[in-house]
Amino acid sequence: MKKLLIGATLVGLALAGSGYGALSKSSGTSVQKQATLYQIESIERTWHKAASFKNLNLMMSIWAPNSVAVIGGKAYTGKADIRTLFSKAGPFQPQNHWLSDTPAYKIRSTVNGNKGTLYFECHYIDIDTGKVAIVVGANLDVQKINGKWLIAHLSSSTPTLQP
Amino acid sequence: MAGDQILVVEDNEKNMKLFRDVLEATGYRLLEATTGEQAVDLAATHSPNLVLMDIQLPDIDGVEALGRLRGNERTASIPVVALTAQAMQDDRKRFLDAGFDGYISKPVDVVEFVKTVKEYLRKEPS
Amino acid sequence: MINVRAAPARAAAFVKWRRLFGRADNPLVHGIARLPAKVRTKLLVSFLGIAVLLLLIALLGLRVLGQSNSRSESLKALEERAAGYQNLYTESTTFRDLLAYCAGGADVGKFLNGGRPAPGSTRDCLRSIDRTVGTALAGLGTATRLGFEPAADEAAIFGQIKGDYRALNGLVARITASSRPSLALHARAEVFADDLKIAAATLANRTQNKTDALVAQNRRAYSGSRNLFLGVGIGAIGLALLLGFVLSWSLIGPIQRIGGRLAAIASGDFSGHVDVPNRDELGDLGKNVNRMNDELRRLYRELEATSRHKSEFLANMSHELRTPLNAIIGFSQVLREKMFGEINQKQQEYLDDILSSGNHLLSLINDVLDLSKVEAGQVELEVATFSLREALERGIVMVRERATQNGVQLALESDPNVDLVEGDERRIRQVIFNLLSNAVKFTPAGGRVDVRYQQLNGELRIFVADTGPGIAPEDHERIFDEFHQTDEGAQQHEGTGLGLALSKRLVELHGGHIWVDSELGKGSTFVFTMPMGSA
Repeated sequence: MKKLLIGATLVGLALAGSGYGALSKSSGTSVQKQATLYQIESIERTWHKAASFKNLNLMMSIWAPNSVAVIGGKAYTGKADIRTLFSKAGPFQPQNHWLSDTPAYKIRSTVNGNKGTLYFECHYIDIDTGKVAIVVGANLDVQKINGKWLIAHLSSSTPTLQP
Repeated sequence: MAGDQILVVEDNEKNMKLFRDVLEATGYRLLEATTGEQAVDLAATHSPNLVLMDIQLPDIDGVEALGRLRGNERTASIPVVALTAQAMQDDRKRFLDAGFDGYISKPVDVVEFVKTVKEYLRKEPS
Repeated sequence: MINVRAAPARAAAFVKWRRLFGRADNPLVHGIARLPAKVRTKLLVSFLGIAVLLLLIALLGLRVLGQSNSRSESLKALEERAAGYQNLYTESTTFRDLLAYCAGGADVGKFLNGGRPAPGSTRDCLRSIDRTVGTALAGLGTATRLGFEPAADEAAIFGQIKGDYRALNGLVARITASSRPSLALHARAEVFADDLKIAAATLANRTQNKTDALVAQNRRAYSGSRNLFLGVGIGAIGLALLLGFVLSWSLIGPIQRIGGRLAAIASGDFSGHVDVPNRDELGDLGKNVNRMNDELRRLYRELEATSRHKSEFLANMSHELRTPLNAIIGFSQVLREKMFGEINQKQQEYLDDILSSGNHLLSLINDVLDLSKVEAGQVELEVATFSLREALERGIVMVRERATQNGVQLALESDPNVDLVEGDERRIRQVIFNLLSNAVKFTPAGGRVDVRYQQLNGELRIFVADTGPGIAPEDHERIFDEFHQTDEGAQQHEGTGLGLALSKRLVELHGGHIWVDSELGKGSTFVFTMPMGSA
C-alpha cells in the first residue's frame, strides 16, 4: 500500500512539473518585450554616437564576432574587415565635421528570443555647411551574445527620403 | 561344621520340611522363619552362622530383607545364600549384585545342597 | 554474523529488526498462517497477485513506450518543419543580401569612400546583379514550397510570406523587363525582402522553440516515467518478496516443526505437542500429528504394561511350577540317599522312577519357560565376543560321560585361525549342548560324533555330524517344530521335543540359520551359522 502511494505521488509530481514547465515557457510579458526592443534600438544610438564622435572602438563594440556587412557591392566578413570599412568611412574622416542623426520614427525593430532585427537610416549633416552630406540606411540582424545585443549581419538599404 | 545354626527363610511348608529334615539329619541346628520380617528379627536375636533365604516371600522380598540384614551391625557379616526358583542368568546376576553371597536354585538337588551348605559354613570367619 | 564488538545500540536495533523479520514469531507470518484458506489457495492467490503486478508493470511500460514513441514522432515532424523554415530563411537572406549589394545608391559610395564620391556608378552595380536577382528569387520560390502544412499559429505569418513573395515576383519581373536598372524598384524590393526575411526568421525561431520545448518535455516525461516505473517496479518486487517470504514461512515453519516432532516421536519421545496455528491443510496435519502422538503414547504405555505383565507372569509361572517339584525331587532324593533309614530294592527302583520323572518334568518346565520367553520376546541376548572353540569344548565335556557310556566317539576339529564370535555365550552353549546331546543320544554304539566349524561368507558355520540313523528329507523341517520327536526319540522317552525348537529360535535371534543335512541310513549333520566377531 505504501509503495502504491509513493508511486502515485511520483506520478502526480511528474505531471505537475511538466505542466508548470510548459506554462513558464512563454516568451515573456509585453513589458519584457518592450524592454528588449529598447535594448536592441540602443544599438542605433551607440552607432550614431560613435559616428558623431569618430569613436572607432565604440563603433566596433556593437558588432558581434564573425559579423558580416553587405554594403557597396561587397561583403565584409569579420570585425577586422568591418573595422577597416569604418576607418575609411566618411563619418570617421577627421576632415569631415559630420553630425549623424536618424529619423527616430523610421526605426523598426523585432525580437525573437535571442535574435532580432533593426532598421534605421543615417542622415550625416555637415556642420560646416549645415547641409545633409549623405543619407544611408541599413537593415541589421542582431543577436544577444553574453547578455549584450550585437550586430550579426548588416544589409545595406536604400532610404526612401520620404516621411 | 556340625552344630552350626542355620536360619532358613521359606514360606512353603513342604519345602521347609525338606530343608529341615535334610539339614537336621546332616547335624545342623535350624532356625525357621516364614517371612522376611521374622527372618530379620531371628537373625538379629540369634546370630546364626548362615542364612538360606527364599527370594519370593509374602511380605518383603528377599532382596530387601538382605538389605536390612546388611544394615544391622549384628547381622551384617552373616553369609546369606539365596534360594530361588528363578534360575535365569539375569536373575542370578541380580542376586549377586544385590549382595547375596551365593544362590541355590530350586528344585534343589539334595546332595548338592548339602555340599554347598557345608562350603558356605566353612567360608565363615571364625 | 553479528559483530559483537559493534556499538551496543546498533546491535540491539539489529536484533530487534531481525526478530521482526525473523521466522515464525513474526506477527505477519502468524497472520497469514491464520487465514482460513487452503494452502493451494494461498499459493495461487499470491502467484496470481504477482502475475497481476507483472501485468501492471508491463502495461505501464507499454504505455510509457507508446508515449515516448509518439513524442519522438512529433519531434521528427517538428524537425522537418524547422528545416523547411530554416531553408526559407536562408534563401530570403541570400536574396536580401543580393539586393544589399547595390542598395543606397551613390550616397553609400560616398559613405564608404570617406565622404568623397566613389568610382563606379550605381547603374553599373544594378546591372551586374539584375541578372542574378531572378535566380535568387527562383531559389526563394522553391523554399516557399514547404512540403508540409504550416501549423495553425504559423499560417498567418506564412500567408504574409507568400504575399511578400508575390510582390517580389512582380517587382523582379519589372526589374528584368526594364531596359534601365532602377534603384527605386530595388528599394521597394528591399522592403518586401526585409519583411519576408523577418517573417521567415520568426517561423524558424518559433519552430525551434517548439522543438526545444518538446525536447525538454520529453526529458521531463522520461524521468517522470522512469521514476514511476522504478517506483512501481521496486514496490512490486518488494511486495512480491514480502509476500513470498511471509507465505513460505507460514508454510515452512509448520512443516519444520512437524518434522521435528515426528523425529522426536520416532525416537520415542511422546512428550510434546506441535503448535501449528494454521487454519489450512498444514493446521490439519499438525492436529493429526498431535493425535498420532497421543495415540502412540497410549499404545506404547499399553505395550510396556503388557510386556511387564508378561515378564511377571513368566517369573511367577517359573516359581509356581518349580516349587512343587522341589518337594517331589527333594524328598525322593532324601529317601534315595537313605538319610532316614534303609530302603529295599523295589523302593529304590520306584524312587529312581519318581526322580527321573521329576527331572524330566523339570527340564520340560525349563524348556517351556525358555521357549515362552523367546516367543514373547522377553529374551534379551547378552551379546559379547567369546571363544567358539571353548564353548564347543565345554559342550563336548558335558556330553562326554554319556557318550562314553553309549560307546560313541567324540571328536572336535578346531580351526586355529577362526575362533571369536559375537553372541550370547550362554544361549549358544545351550544350542551346542542341545545338538551334541541329540547327536550322542541318536548314535548307536560304535558310532561317532564329529564337531567342526569353518568360516564362510563372513559368518561361521558349525557342523555337528553323527553316524546315527539319519532323518528323512520330509522331516528335515518338521524336526524343528515344537514337541516333534522322531520315532526313535519317542521310544527313548527322553527329551522334551523342545530342544531343537528352542535352538532354532536362539540361533535365529542371533541372526543365523540352522538346518540339517541328512538321509535315512546315512547319519545327520546339523549345521548352524553365527555372525563373525570382531577380532
